Amino acid sequence: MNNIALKDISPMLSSRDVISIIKQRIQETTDRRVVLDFSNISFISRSAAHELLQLKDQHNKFWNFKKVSYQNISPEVNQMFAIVEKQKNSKRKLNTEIPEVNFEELKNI
Amino acid sequence: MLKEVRVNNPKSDDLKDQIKALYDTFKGIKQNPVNFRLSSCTWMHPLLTLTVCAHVREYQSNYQQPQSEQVKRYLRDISFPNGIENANQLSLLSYTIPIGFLKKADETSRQGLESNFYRIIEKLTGNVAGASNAILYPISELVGNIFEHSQKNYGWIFAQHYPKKKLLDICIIDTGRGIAGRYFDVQKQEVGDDEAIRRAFQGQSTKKMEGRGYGLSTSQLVVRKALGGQFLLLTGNSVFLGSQGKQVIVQLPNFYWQGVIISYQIPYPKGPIDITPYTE
Repeated sequence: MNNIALKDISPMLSSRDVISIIKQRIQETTDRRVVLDFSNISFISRSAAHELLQLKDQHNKFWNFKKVSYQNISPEVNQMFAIVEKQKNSKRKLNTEIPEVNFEELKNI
Repeated sequence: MLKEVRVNNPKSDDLKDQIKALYDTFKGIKQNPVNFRLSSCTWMHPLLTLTVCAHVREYQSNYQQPQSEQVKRYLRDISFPNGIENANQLSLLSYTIPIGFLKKADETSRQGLESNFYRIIEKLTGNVAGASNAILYPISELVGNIFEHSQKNYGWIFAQHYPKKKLLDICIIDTGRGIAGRYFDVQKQEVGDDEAIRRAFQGQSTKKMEGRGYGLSTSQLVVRKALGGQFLLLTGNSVFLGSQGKQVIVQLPNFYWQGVIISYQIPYPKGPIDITPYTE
């Protein structure tokens, strides 16, 4: 089993780019079980969480070669994963009612 | 001889006044180099500061130092106009946050700079449940948009906090193809800047993948509804301005910004915040 401490990659997982580094680490290991350790990760962006969930799904559901799991997830990080899962299944609420005004009217707003 | 452009203070910290000051400064300039005269500035707000900074780098504009020693010192402290490019130049102990110049190519430096920037923001806004996700969600989404959508490999970020007023101003800028440009390039649809903003806020992604296209639409909701702040998005000749209860789109006559300018102002969080209802 290979344990990857994410804090050694970045203390905050703020972009899709950082997930590509994690992806590479997973690819490099010969172990069939990979644990992503979220200790001391205080923030993950929505984009990074989306990318990471996709990565986990690809390994666990489709590729069936390496099993990827998470450990030590903070409530904040967990909330972002939950948000991404919800977005995957939700129908968008469209914000269509944005009135357009003249620049002169801006002062009255 | 470069055109002289006088930069004036906004009447107040309010984003509505900041956009008026930005408009007065930048109307008629477009993408030509100019000489910004900061001499009468007694204070510099992030929206105007960062836009001038981006114009100086992008279009080789010049600037004339302000007369006020205090403003001169402030500009020096925030590394105006070049900004900083890596985390080593950013002190976690400082309460003054310098301008961040973010480059796609230098991924490690950018990650470090972004992380430290986020940690300073977290420190400033206190230890309130849910506050980190609420404040960092829009920043990370909007910075990510620069590198995923603008087709430019760089952008700017800057924040200013007002400890007495307990407010935080954040500004993020790129000089890329703009939102309308993105719809045109990806979907071959020609739309005006006002319509492009409307579509982006409806979450109409230029990408077809599941779970994409949420960044802009949900970020402005988190700022306005979850944090009770004001949100401004400017692209081309149109600007969206929204607060908790109101939102408008305004076309700016004789004005054009090539790219996207986002600025938002939030009060320091006082109680627990849940962003979930605004991110669906």
